[in-house]
Amino acid sequence: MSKITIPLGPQHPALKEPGNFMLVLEGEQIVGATVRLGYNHRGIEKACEDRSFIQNLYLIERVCGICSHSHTTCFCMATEDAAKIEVPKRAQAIRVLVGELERVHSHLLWLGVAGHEIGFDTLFMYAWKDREQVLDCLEMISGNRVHYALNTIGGVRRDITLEQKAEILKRMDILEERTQYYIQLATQEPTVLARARGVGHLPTEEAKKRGAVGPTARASNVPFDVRKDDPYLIYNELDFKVITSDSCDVFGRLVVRVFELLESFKLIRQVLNNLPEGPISVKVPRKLPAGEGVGHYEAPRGEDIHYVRTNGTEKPERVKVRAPTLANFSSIAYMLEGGYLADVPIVIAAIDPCFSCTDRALSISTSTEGGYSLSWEDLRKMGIEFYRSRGLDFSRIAK
Amino acid sequence: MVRPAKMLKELMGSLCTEPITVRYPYQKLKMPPKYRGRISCKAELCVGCRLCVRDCPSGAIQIVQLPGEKYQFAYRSLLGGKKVNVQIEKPGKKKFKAVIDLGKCLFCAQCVETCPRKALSETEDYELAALTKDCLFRTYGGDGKTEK
Amino acid sequence: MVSETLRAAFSLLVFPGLLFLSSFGMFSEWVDRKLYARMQYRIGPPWFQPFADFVKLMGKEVIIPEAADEALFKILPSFAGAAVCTSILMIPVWGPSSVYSFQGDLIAVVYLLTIPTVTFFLGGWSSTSPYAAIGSLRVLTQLFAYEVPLLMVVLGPAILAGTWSITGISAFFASHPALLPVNLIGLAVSLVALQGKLERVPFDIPHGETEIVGGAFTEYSGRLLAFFLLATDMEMVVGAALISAVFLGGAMGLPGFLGFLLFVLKAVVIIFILSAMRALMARIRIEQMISFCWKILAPLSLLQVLIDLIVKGTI
Repeated sequence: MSKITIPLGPQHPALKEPGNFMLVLEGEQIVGATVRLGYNHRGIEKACEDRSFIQNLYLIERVCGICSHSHTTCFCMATEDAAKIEVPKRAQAIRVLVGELERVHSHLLWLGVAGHEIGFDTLFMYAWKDREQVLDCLEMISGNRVHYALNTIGGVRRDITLEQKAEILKRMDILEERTQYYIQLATQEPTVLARARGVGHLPTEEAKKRGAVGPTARASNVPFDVRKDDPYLIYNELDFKVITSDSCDVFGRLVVRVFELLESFKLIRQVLNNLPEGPISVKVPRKLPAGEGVGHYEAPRGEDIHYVRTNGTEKPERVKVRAPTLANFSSIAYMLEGGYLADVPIVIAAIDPCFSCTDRALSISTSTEGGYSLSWEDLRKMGIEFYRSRGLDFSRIAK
Repeated sequence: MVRPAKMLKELMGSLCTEPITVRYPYQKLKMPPKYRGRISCKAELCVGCRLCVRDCPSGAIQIVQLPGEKYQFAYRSLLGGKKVNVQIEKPGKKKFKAVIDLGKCLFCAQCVETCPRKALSETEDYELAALTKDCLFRTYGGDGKTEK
Repeated sequence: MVSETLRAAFSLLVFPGLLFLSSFGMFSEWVDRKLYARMQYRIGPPWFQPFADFVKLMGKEVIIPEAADEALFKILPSFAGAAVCTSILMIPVWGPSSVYSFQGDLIAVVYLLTIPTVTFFLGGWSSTSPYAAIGSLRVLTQLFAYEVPLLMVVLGPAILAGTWSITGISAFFASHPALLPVNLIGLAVSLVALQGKLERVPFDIPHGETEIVGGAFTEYSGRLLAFFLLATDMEMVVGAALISAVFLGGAMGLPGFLGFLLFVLKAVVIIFILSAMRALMARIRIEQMISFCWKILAPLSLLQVLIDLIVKGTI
């Protein structure tokens, strides 16, 4: 049978955001796939250098619509790291609360989108109906359904009142019951099982080699979660499990995300019932002292890293954002080859792609003067030293 | 255990329940307090420090100083007999008006927080669509709240 | 002579031909969409929505790809509509008798219902777009999957009734209503096969929206698309009418208008079952569909034929 090349092009009903996948098909089987990005580049990193830190909060928030709180919190953590600011406990707890609510929101949204990609529109409608509960909570706390704008450098902007706490707890009970229903549905409905089992296989070795993060990696039995490995905010005081699955396919990713919903409900209840007292922010000068800081956050899609360098003025010198989808992207090409055309939408949707987060510019400089290159050994030593100064010892981890 | 038609009971149940979609614009939902809708300004509290302009991420707010009231009188010059008009500014508080461009506003409410006099506040108004770009400029101050 | 021609023209164009079939088709599309929406806690479209969609599509520009065969591209929707309109003439709609009936019209109706599927295939193939090509291949592959169970399972009641004409079958069951439960397996199999013929979830693989955009209809727009979609609606009515006549006893001997009401009622019940199937499941892959149809549906239809043979032998 002759090979035809189909562009699952920038515009396609399967993609929520533009990305290009050139698929070489033989009949219904895919024999080759090329993946390309870059349709959503907006020059955010450069724009950050032109605005003060307060203005940058809102710009960084708009890197992504669904993981907006992750990006702002990560940016704030990086800036506070660079300027050596200590954030009060209550603010950290509120950040964790909104972060977990955002995780619930994102996973319910993903459940609906995955349902739509396999043609199960009823699951789409039901999951988004339940998502309204969490959106109402967020609207009550922060004033908007997406783009919560709760963070400021040095804390949060709004406080949680007792009525809001009671309302959130009530809605978490409703959502927990619905999540149990979805767990049953995902494991018992034969058409869902037929579409999700054995599809998009990513073995553990490949996941580690290609640097997969988040639920994509956890479904391939790589137990990597920033909240446990490098605890930030108040996660080291909270009790929760890291969910992994060893089925290495789309079904595993579905199971990991749905069980993570249950863990998030547990975390939200813990935070709400033990909210520490105190101020919600500290006063921060407009001109921050020079330094560099890294923020490390577990977004709903995986590990999010921000790097901020300040230089004593009120504008940052350099901001770098590495979104989780960029780390998961190289796994797509591996998962698509050898599969069927009918599986392409669900495989792409299973890594929960957010191409808006991902598009950054990379400047390739052809001149070798004035720069320096690090070998793998030097890079590893530098990483170990960096964390040793913060009290963590990674030197015993095998290469 | 595989159970085909797992959702059947729920589907039949939802046939007998009210739909949850809201028939907008005949039915409208109520927004919670402190919802970040259109930002409104009490111009009599503004002192013209322009901190809000500095902190706005998108440059949506402008503070314009209104021309103040003036004492006007005329006198005839003793030499030459020409009439001279004199205008002296009345001492007192300067007046400002705020112009917010809804096309650029992010509704982030950072200006609300930054204002030292609490002149700005969030409203629950979210039906802000307009047919022409002029209608997107909302002016607060001058002669009461005027909307163009 | 003139009155004969007038009567033929009336039944072909007005009732139960083109006009009735298209309005009942739009009505049944509305019922399907409204039930589907209410099962998902939504409100659903108003009653005139399918008609409004038809009118809107008629007003849009028709764009034909340059490499496509223009004549074939344009004439295919009319073929689909014509085949479906012809097939309703042999199914009893008004009372217990149809407009034309002859021995073997059961096979003729099933054959006529295959023609729209072939026009979808030719339409997608002549579009010369990669999405349409894959969609049209899937249409044909799906045809091989569900056609055999559908044909075999309607043979069961025919054997029991001892006649090859649809009118005869429904008359037989009208006079022996106690024999209706014998064909329950056949009813279930035929409903699933009808869902495959109409290309609805879980079998809407040829039109997989998130996979191949529009399938065979990707390049169709304007009035050509309007007629193709109308042909699909009419196919749903004809399929429901066929199942109600063969498995549910049709008009049950009631004459004239009462028989028509019963026909409408049975059609709506069948559409309700089809909508529930659409809401319940996800779309499966083409090779899973073929294995499902050949491993489960075809043996069940053989079993149904066997049961009918046994019952025929004993009565």
